[in-house]
Amino acid sequence: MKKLLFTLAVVTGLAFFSIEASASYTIDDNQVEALFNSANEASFSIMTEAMDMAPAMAIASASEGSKDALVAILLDFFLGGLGIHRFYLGTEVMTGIGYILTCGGIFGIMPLVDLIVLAINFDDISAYVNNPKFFMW
Amino acid sequence: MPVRNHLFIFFLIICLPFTINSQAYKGKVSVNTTHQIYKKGQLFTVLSTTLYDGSTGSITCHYTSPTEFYKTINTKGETTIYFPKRNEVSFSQNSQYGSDSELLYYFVNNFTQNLGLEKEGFIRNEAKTEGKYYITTWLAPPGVKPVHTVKLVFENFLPIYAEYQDLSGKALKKIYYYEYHHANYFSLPKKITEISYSSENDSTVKRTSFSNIQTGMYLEDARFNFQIPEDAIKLDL
Repeated sequence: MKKLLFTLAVVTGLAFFSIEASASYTIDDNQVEALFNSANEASFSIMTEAMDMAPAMAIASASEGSKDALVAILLDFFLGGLGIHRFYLGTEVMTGIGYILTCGGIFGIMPLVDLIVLAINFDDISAYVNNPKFFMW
Repeated sequence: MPVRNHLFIFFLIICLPFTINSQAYKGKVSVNTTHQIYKKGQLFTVLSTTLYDGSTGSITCHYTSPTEFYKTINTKGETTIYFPKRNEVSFSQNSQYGSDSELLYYFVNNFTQNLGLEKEGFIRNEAKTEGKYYITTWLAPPGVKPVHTVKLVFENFLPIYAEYQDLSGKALKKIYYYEYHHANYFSLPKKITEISYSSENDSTVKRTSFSNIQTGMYLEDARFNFQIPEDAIKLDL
């Protein structure tokens, strides 16, 4: 029941966003605030883990085990320009380095595209784990 | 004094302020930043302070929560990330993505006409007015698969909305720039909310809020004066 109410609240919140967004080019910040207030403040452990792991991941090759889409998205948000999320997801070392050297960017388009595909495939990011391709999508 | 000289001085006085304003901002700007990311009912909050130095073009970010680290980036794309707790430092260089790729750079220097899209290879396709709004449409360069078009909306010469669309015109991402802070030389949105759509009923919402915006030629802020110890562990990217 709790989950149902929560989902309903989220969907309603997003519906508000859509209605508002289609009506104009502005957004009601109170609705954003309400949505954030309805959320559970995530434990910092996952974020801390992601940020603390970032340097190590930058030099490590792909490690075994399942990858958390949320960690990948957070890394993409904050360190996407450095390709850290690619190292986290696992890729060939040279691919990762090539990515950093050529297609990174703090607010570059590549992290944005990666972010979109990770968000779209949030429930199953297996296609991007240990993906040796230069463009993972 | 001949009339010609009077006219010359007159035009000089008129034109000088415009010349000064058209140059990049040479002072310093510091802001406190709160990043909030909402995804699947969970909210992540990250706090940082950022210093932009107009004389060098470098940007220093001091992330304080949930974990502390520093990130500096200059116009050449030389990036340093330093984790004081772990005493680890990494260096990287990418000439295509320097501090002039940062959003703060565009706003502080009034380069808001395309918010960096042109630099990313986007080509302007259309420009029109819609009531009080001025709208430009940009076509993505080949190879950027999911994104096909970006729509930028301006009000009073300031960007207020950006929409990334796929080939079918479906919105992939919407960005709202609002609650502008007007400084002497530039305007900066105090809030930027991004909604990335992943499916019909799901999205990621990120809001970046700037506060305590300080500007000045001689702005000193001890928060950004950090030294990387000589014994820091270097991580090669």
